[in-house]
Amino acid sequence: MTTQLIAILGAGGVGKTTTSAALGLALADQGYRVVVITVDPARRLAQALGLESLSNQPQTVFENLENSGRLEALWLEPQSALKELVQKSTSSLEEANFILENRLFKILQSQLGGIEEYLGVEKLLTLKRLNKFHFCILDTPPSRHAIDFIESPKHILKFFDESILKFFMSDQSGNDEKQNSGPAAFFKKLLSVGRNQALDLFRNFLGRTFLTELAVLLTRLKPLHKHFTQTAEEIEKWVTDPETNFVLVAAPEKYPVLEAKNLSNELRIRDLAPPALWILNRGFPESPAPTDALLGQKLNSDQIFRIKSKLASQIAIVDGIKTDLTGTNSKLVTLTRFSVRQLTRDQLMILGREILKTWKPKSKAEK
Amino acid sequence: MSPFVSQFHFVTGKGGVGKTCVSAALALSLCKKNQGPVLYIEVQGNGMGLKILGLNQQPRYEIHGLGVHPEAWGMQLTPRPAFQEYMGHVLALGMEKSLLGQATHQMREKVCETVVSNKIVSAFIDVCPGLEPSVILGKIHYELTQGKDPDRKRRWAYVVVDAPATGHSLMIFKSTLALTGIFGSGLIFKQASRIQSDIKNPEIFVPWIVSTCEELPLQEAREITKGLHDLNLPAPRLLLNRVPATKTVPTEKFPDLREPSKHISFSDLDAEWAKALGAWQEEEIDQIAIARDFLKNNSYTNLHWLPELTTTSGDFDLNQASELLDTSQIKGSPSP
Repeated sequence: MTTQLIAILGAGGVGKTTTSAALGLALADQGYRVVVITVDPARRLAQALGLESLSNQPQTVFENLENSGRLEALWLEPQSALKELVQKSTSSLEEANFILENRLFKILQSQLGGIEEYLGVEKLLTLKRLNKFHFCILDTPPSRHAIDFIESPKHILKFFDESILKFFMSDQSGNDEKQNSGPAAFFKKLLSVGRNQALDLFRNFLGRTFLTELAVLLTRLKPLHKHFTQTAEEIEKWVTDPETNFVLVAAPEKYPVLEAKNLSNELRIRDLAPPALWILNRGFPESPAPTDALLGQKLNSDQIFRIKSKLASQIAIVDGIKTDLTGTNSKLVTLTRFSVRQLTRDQLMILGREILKTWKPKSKAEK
Repeated sequence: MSPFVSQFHFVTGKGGVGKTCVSAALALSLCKKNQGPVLYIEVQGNGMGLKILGLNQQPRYEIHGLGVHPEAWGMQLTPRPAFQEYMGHVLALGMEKSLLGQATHQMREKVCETVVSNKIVSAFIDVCPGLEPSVILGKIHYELTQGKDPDRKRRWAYVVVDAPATGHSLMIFKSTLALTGIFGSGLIFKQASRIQSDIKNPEIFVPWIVSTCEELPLQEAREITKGLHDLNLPAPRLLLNRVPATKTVPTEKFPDLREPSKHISFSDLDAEWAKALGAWQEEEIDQIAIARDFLKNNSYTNLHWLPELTTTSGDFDLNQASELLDTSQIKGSPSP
């Protein structure tokens, strides 16, 4: 079974995780086998879906027995995912343990910066290779550029570039002779001969203890290189597939919409599929009354005034997006704000069905 | 006598709660105290905060004057140039008697540029976990301890930082605290130790958590409060944003949030409108209940709130927000 990717993108706080879960539930209800993956550390939604805890294995959270549709969810726990990765790609248990017990590795592990995104990608591929899902929904991590996750394997690969390994593993001693030729000569040499002197300076900056430890760790991590290369190639192929579904989520307010437009632009720059769907989440209850009638009302309280101005700007935003999307294949769904409390599973299902009324994700698979 | 350190206001919270607008309003409010220049730093943002504060050009790493107030200055903090600059400072600091210490500022800059543009170094900066967030805090700390306004060369009275959302924010502190563990020696180690002691001082480091009156953002507020506590950092100020039913900030003390009026007459509106407005009103009443519950169960000694301050064009009403944001309790760092 070919697994189709649905990537949910958007600024923070617009309801990406909620949308992922809602869409997953509704697709499963229609008979698809779906998995939702998120690295969002928030456990609230997991609870709403009935998940007890974070885990590295998908857990079934919903089943439709009539049509064998099923939703599984996976809330990535980065630290154990990393451990799993090391164990999988080293040749022996001893080798794996050496890395896992390394002092530097332990600290790096608790400080997972970009690695977290990489682990999400890694897990995504593992699920794809199972060939048992129609759809894989990715709730992208909150980051400056939400599409960064695609590039994360490439970043990791850079680290294993031959010259980098050589630099960190080379002898750290013996660059003192340069200290005697006066500042001018030193800088001249530094800038003209370039590389080696620049690197010496960098070594000095990082400190000797760190470099020695890093060299030891990198030697041991070398076998993982092949693994990272494969992951990078496979994810790129998958994500750049024109059938990949990118979903942009925004609130119908000025700033979140600007952010979504930026994301749409980034998809274009990276030659990825255009957004298949725009979701404007947490809108005002829709009213058929025209804006003019609204603004003509006598203001009888601050509250009504606030609501009116807010609604007027919302209507303008939705109209603007509709105009932008004319002539494209992107669909637009506006969702009414449900509640300011955490949504229940039933409410999520209603939201999901609402989305699927307007939009069907592209899929190569038959149910 | 310890050297002067500018007071560091760090604004965080769940995505979408209005961190950028609130931090801009805070910066303007602190400017109006007339205690000296204020530096507004937008961390990896899209330049929105700087734009709100009147920057009418492309946001850059360099410090620019902001149109909204003569004391307002701003910059966009991105990791790469920060790393380059930070490296220069660290190297100069640790090598005062060496060749690099004798070099001119310009020479040092050129050297760091060469180093950072080196292929290997550049890849290392990209992938070394914890390095990027630490460099960000490193730059902020430089401004706290040595930064000056480009015009009159006075030290910053306040530095206001518009931080990334919760998870990434805590990473900035965690990474720096862990740097002392990663780098057992060397110049970064020394620098990180100094930062560590400064951000643990409540007279210097003032974290702000912004939240709306909704369940998820408030839960995240609780988590970051715990996160700061676990790292032994000062207790945060909580700012409830877009509090309903308040055009002006209530003067009553915590936790007496006003109930939205239940008696608005919808009689002169048509039925559809009455329905829409009714639903909105229900939501506001719910928000107040959620906020009350939260405040009852979580103790925050420093509580602020702001109403929704959007103009009809959807823009944020910065001036009104800076007036309503009560910063009278904030005194700044103790004088040197």
